[in-house]
Amino acid sequence: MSRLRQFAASRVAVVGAIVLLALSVAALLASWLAPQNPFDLATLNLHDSRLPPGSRGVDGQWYALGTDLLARDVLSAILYGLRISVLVGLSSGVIAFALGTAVGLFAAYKGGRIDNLLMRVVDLQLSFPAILVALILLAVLGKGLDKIILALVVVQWALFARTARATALSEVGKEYIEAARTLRLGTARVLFRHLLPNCLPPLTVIATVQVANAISLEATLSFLGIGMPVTEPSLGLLIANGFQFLLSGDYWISVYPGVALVLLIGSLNLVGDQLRVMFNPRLQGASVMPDDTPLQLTDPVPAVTAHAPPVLQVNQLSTQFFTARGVVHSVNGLSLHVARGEILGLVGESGSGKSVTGRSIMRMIAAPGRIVDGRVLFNGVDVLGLDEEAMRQLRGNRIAMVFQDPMMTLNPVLRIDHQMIETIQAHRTCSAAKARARALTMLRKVGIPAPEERLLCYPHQLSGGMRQRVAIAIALLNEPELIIADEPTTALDVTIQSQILAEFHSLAKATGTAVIWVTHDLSVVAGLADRIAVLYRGRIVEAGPTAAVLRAPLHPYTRGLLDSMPTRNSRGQPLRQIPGAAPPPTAADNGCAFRPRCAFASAACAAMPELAPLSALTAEHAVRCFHPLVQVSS
Amino acid sequence: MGAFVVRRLWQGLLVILVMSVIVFLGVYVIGNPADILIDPEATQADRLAAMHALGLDRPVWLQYGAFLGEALRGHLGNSFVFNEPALQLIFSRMPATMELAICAMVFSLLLGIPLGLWAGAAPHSLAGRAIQSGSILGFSLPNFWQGMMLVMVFAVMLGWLPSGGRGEVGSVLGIHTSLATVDGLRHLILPALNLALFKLAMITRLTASSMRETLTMDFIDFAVAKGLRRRRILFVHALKNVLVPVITIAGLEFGSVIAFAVVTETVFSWPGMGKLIIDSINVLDRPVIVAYLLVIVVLFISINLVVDLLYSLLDPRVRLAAAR
Repeated sequence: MSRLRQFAASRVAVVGAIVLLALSVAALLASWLAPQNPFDLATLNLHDSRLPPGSRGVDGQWYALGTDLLARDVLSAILYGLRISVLVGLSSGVIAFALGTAVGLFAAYKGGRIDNLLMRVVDLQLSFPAILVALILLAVLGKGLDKIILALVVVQWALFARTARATALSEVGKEYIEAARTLRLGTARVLFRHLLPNCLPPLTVIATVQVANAISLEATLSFLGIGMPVTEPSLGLLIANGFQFLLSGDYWISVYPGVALVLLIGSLNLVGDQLRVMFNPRLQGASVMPDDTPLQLTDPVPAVTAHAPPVLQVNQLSTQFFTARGVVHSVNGLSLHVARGEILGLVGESGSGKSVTGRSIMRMIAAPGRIVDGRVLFNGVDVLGLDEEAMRQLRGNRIAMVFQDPMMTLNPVLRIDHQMIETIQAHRTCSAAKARARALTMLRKVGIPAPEERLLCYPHQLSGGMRQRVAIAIALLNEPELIIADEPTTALDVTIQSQILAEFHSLAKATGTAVIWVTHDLSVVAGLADRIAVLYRGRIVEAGPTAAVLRAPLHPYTRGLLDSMPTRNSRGQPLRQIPGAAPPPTAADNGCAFRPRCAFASAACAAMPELAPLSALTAEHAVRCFHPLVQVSS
Repeated sequence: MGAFVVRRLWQGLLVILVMSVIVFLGVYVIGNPADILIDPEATQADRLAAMHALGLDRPVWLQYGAFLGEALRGHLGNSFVFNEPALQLIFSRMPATMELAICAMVFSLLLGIPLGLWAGAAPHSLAGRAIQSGSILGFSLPNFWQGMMLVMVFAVMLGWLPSGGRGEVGSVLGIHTSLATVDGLRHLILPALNLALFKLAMITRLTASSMRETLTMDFIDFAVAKGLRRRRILFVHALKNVLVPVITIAGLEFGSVIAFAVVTETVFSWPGMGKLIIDSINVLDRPVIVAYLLVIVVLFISINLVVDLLYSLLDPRVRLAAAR
């Protein structure tokens, strides 16, 4: 049902499906629907040759779409021609589907030499255009229905084989296939029972388009005079027959069969295109590229409050993703603040909403995500209320961001100098020479040796650690007041990681830049952050000075995170882990999200606790829990 | 780079060898080689004598060796119809086809890339959706029918342009081309448009999907986070990445444009090698068919080689790998 609704999301595709259905029925019922049998020469009256549409014949017959040279009713010829075209397209498609899929699955399952050889053949075949291969085959074989179907199968099988193989290969490594192999199930059984079902969606898409191509190709070959014999006039042949009369103005003989052909191929392509979109999630991916529509938040922009506002103050931020499976509450009424020169460690496991928080502050949430509520006050101004141009002027200038994977964040086809200089020039008028000098200084500051040479490099010429240093240098270029670092050291090895952490720490302290360091790793922020905020399911469950949180965690979840960290004393003992897994973020629940995994949970936890300090003495250290872990004083 | 070219040339030669075996088996063994090489009007005694003289009574692999030897010296037999060497005949028709194919390719790139960028950058806008749907229409119009419609509208109904033929051919810098004369240009417009439309649809779609995919990449996020202007992100950061696959595939598709010229040339009576091959198939002028096939194979391999080199120039990552 949801598949059907997904398909119907495109109105054009629905129209295509309806047209396709109508044409198929017309082709199937041609002998009943057609007013005349165009193959029955006895019923043809040569006096009725080349009559225009809507005219009556000598016997009083009415020709809705006119007649051709042989006095055949064009409408009837179209219906019969449609039948031949559909027959050729479908049968060649089905045979090629079966043959190609079998070959592709076999190649994927066998692997090694067999796979290599078969794919060489496929590649060779696909490197020649279909029309050429079909042309040559038919030149050798001659005309005829069977021959054209054979030629079309030869042309089509390779694409099915390649697709089936590619899809199957992603399955072959999986456990259930290995299990089937170990159990010595027969090859055929593994192929058809286990591999085939996974390959069907992409193959179906290809099949739809291939049938359209086959019909088009058959028509083209028939038009060229090397496809169907004159005794079996497909649409292509009908059009070819009418071509000579086109120049003399008798357009209907070729134009109407052409319209039928275009409708048939077009409807198949429309359906195929929508299927492709449905089965390829990549095509549904959205970009964070801001479109020019402003954010629609209910609250007005608040006036600047507090006499000494922190650099960043986030109030009750909520970001939700409107997916097909429901609304995901990634960030759920989150509040935090960072002061000038302060480093805040934002800690949480994957899916806790920590990255979404960072991106929300930058207003870089891609559809289907949306910031639905809250305020992000940067120097007292709500960035959620800014227009896109004002927001752009903040990004990379006052608020910079460093991402997780240094392999992916630099543009692979642009030189480092271009990527640095543009960052400066996007925010101030500055000569290229000056900008380059600034870039050079920055590269030096982040510890890149021989920066003059590095400037002329492409990203792939640098190591991962180097690239992340470049990304950090870019973030620092415009002396931002706030840097959001989204796990920037996670993808690096441990030695590089600690070097970069140390350099980052000293740079931030030296420039007075505020930092939000997003990470899943408590040990990373332990030596870096001034304060720590622990995130669970889109809410902060504990926040406080680093030392206090690490030494005396109040929330059972923070305790669990600390216990699962390897330490020198725990060597030789199994690491403790938090039992259970985070509940799905779509589940509606008003209580403490951690309670299903919590040893201290009680009936009270069905309500949501407030984030609050335990006493006025520890006002800096807040927790969201009804049963905080109070340390036994010793 | 040098080693890379040598390796690719070597692979190309291998493919040509494989194709020559297939052509040989296809045309010489499935078909009757006597039909190809001996005048169909010869008497039976002459036939047998000729078959012996041509070595057709020898084992297949020996025959293949002889065929290959002859082919290497450019001997692929005489055309029955024109009674001149088949290879020479094809080369004399090739410029007309090339001219048509190049014009079509340039046209589809010049229009397809901007349309695709638009559709890819704003996929949900009205224009974006219109371009996407329009490109499906472009796919769905069979080439020959679309060409006929062009003839009907612009030649028959409006009478603006000629319905077929190549027109007057002028000479620029020693190259004979229709582009040099007004009459030649008038004859070129419709066939070039006809040949271009299918590729235009393809390049539009390719550019659009490549653009959409590129815009979801991390480096685009980073470019946004740097505060770059929308224009710069689209036309510098995204475009450079989009162009690499588009130019590569467009290059590879040039071969397919030459193949589809068969249809266009038939519709517009364009005197290129595509029309020649169709005429030859219809009268079973097999030496010409064989020659065309081998010429096309060599042409395709050359195109692939050139595109590979071009690709390595465009993408710094490949450039480096090749230099190593």
